[in-house]
Amino acid sequence: MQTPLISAPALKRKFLFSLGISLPIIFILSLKQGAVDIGWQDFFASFGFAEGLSADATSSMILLELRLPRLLVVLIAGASLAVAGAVMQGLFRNALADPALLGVSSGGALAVVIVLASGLMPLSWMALDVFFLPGVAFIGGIVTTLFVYWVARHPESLDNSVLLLVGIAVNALAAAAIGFVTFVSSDTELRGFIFWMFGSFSDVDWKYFFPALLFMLPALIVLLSLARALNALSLGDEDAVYLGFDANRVKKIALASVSLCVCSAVAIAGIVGFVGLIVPHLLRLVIGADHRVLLPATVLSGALFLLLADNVARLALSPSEIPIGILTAMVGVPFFILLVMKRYTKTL
Amino acid sequence: MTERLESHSVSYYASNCCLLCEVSSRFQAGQFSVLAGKNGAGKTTLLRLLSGHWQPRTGTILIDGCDLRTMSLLELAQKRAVLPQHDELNAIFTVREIVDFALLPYAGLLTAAKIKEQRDTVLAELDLHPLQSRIYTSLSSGERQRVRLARVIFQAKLSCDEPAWLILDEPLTSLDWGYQHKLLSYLCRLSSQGLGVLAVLHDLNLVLQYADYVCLLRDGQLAVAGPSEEVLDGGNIRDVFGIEAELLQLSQRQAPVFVMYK
Repeated sequence: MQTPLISAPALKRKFLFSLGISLPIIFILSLKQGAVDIGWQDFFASFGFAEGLSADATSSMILLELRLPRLLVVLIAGASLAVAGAVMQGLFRNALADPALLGVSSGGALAVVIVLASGLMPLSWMALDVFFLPGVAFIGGIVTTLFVYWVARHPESLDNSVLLLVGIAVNALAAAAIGFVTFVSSDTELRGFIFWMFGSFSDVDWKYFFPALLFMLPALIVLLSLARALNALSLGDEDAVYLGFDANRVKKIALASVSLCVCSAVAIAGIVGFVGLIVPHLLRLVIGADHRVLLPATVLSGALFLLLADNVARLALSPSEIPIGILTAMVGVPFFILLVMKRYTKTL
Repeated sequence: MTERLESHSVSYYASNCCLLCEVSSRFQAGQFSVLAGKNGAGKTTLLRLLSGHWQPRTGTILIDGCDLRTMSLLELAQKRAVLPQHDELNAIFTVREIVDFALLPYAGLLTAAKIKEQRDTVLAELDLHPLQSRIYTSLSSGERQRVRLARVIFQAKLSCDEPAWLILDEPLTSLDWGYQHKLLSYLCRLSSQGLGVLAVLHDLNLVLQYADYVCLLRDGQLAVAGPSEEVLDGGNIRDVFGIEAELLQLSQRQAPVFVMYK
């Protein structure tokens, strides 16, 4: 275990500040780039900043109706997934804890695969059909999380290791059930499901933006407000109680908010793994474990990380798209392993 | 005077096994009190009840005349600090960050000057100034124990309540002889300044030297309690610990010491 790179409070503030500056810059650059590159003139005209100039109608449409809502959802999903991971790791005092342990993703995936394979998918429920699959994934994730919590609950205290055990068991069960359903389903059904499993923001537009904001933003704010309690909990549940925090209550609030965040992200984009693991871990190496700094830094870095990943997904094989879930793992994991080798084992 | 921490015939059960049966105890603020007894006698259970972490099945706990059940966790955290036997910390925190966790219950209540003054004295008493920016998990276990002690003593010293309480479960764990004596004389000074100090200790010779009051537990029941020089004698040691020991007065200026026989 080594010292974080930055330990002086003033430097930590500067680090947060520079994250806060770079996020909007990269966001604007990302809006400009894509299968169709948009010139600065059209860019400013589309937002009504260039007086006397009118924007090209196609560029304006791509910018305002496709890229803007998509990238805004990418930002909030990245922030939510990363903070959910940081909070889980703080809560469980374990750097390996991941929101997936609550069964959020596997439960969502199981619900989606069952619906796809059974052909329950409605062809058109007026305009509501776009919310059907996300709704199914959301409900699947929430129900699975509630089941994990219901099994692990105890009248006096919520034991971390019991919660982990139950989570792992339920995940294994869901994986087996997913395997069984895919085994009996047809090729076309399978392809739709596999695409969903990898995660993508390619279908996201304004329709999804407001529901995403409605679910994720309040949960995100609640998670950020737990920073002091998470600091106390990192000493242990008993120590946290002596410092004035109701450990069980904090856990319940945190688990509910984490599952809300991750269920919403999974519902909109499918499974985008590894964000909740790599982003908080990297940040702990840089700025340490104090959640009052770590959580805001995680919000900014998570949004930044997913934004960059989404750029690669859109641009690398343009005009076709790489599923973002594949990217976050394929780029994130080797980088992460390199980092672990350098920091902890010194075999490099 | 209600500056006391008391249990009134408290019982505690774990899956119908009685860990603590009808224990009534009373500890005075301004004194250094010690809880002792065999392994499994119920010392930690009683401490957890007295600190409000566990609720007794029967009986009540009063802190300065106030029923624990009527107090919130935050009020309690501003009234007493507790050192459990272990912590589960494995995150990357510096010593200074850990010690400052003592500020968590007092958000917005304290001036920067008071915080700095109290932190500096506590860090100095436990020789922690040179370790301040070290990572806690990289320290030796004795150094870690000093950091944990500094955190809880800091928390109790910040209290605006008179008196505040310090409840310590085996504070001497991993400390060398020098720091054992240093800590105990610091605790004595703190208690003479009005703080209530209650600790679980095993070394009865140290108890004889430093403690004002001792309470011996046996099989989940109170065996005997009183001023330490009255309670600690060969007879009570035989009753509570089942060993033969004799008190020797080596010098007039020092407390007597126990010598154990094979």
